[in-house]
Amino acid sequence: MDFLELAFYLSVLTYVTGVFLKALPLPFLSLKKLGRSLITDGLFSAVLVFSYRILLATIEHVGFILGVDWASYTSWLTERIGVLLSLFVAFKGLGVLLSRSGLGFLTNSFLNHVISLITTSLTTIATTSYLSSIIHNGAEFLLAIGLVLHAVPFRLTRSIGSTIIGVVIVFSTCLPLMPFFIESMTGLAGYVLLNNEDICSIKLLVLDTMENPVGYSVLEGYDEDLLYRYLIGSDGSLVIDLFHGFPCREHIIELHTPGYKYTTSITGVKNHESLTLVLPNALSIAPNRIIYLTGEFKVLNSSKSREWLNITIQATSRVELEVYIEAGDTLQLHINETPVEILLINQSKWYNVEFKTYFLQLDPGVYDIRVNINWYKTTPLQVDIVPYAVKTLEVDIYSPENILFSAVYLFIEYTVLPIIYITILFTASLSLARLLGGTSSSIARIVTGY
Amino acid sequence: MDLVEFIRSLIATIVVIAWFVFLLSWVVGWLVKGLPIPFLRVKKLGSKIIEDAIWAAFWLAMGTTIFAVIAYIASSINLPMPQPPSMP
Repeated sequence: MDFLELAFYLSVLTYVTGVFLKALPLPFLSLKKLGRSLITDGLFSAVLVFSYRILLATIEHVGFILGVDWASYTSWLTERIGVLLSLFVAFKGLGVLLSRSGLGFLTNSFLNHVISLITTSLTTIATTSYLSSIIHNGAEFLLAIGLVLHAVPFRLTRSIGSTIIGVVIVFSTCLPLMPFFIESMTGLAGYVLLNNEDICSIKLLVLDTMENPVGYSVLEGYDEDLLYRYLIGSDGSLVIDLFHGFPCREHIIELHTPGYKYTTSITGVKNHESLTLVLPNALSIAPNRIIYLTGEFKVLNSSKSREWLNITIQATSRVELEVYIEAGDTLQLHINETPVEILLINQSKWYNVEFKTYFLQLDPGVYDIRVNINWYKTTPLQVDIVPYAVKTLEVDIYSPENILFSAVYLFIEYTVLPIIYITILFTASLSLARLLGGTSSSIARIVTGY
Repeated sequence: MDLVEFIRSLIATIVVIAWFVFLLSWVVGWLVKGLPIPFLRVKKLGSKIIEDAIWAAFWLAMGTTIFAVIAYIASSINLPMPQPPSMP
């Protein structure tokens, strides 16, 4: 059913009903007035119906002027949900730990309260996310429904119709600006919890010997115990923002790739720095498909595509070649353009992904190696991410007031401010709805003077 | 029956009834106005009924035209908007 057509005929119906009442030979003033107002309503609804495209264009235009970006807004929401979820899990874990170590009173009296604050924030953010996806995906549909309700004769559903139109217009243009609102408000507070001196935001890139990105590896940081654990994305890069956090100070980092572990010490980073980790002996064909060369050799020439890798090496000692691929893949190896049988030595599971390991030894000499891997999809690793920010929060369980401060801060940022912002938008929507004929004064009345 | 179809038939019915009501009002109006009773209020009531009936008939006749004009104006100003000014 075409809602716009329906809305148009409803407005025509309103109009002719008004004319009909006006033509009645009954000398009641109220009846005549009703007729007159029905005529005006019908005309105004018809104007709105035909302005459907204009309304949509206006939403888009105003959004463009205001710099609305739904994609970044959605990723902002997802990121916040992720942070809150990991905090929730961390505090739950802490609670269990405290109960076991005989400090159950802390859990009961205090930690539960903190967890409930976090849960409320999580609910608010999730609700906001749900609401905004409805508004964003259903703007056209909701607008059409609003127009239909607006056009129903005798103003039966006129106010709810104009409220829907107002909500769609205001929320579509202003909801994605919520991050700016929250950032500017928390900026005024002058107290930024997660941005203390020890937490930095960095951009990380993992490359192989040929400077191709290595997809899906696990990054861990240690000083005495685990500081953080992150999953490097399929494109070999990872942006660690302040909410996840990266230690600015000196610490040890471990990069885990299938079958290998690289350890290095990092002397300290600055905020917003870009780090590049180059794996000295690895060659990546695709995420979860990696080749390691060990021994003394020199790379003379190399090229690669999605499924194959060509490399010419000069081996000065015995060189070992190890290939890690996912269990569903098939591997072909050509050396100096002749197919070579390669030995399957191991089949193992790594972060819930099945891997096959192949092994080959090469004597000194010059080799033209071509590795062909048939693969269809990449299975993402299942890694329990440990954000550094969360780690810093649970540093000292004997000074719980810090935790409370953090929780209150999060509560304000992710519950109070979003609710305030949504209330502001809703008030604006109601005013707009009133202008469109929601309750008392309407544009139609202002224009026609009735 | 489709909802749109139903509303369209309802519109058609109301338009037909409205024309009859207009004729009726016209007749009733002249009847009241022409009554051989010397009360000014009655005469005025008759004129009022006739006036309303004529206006109703006018708007009834204009209805199609009005909606066509609205459609024309709304679709003719629905042009692509200019790019918003950029901040210096």
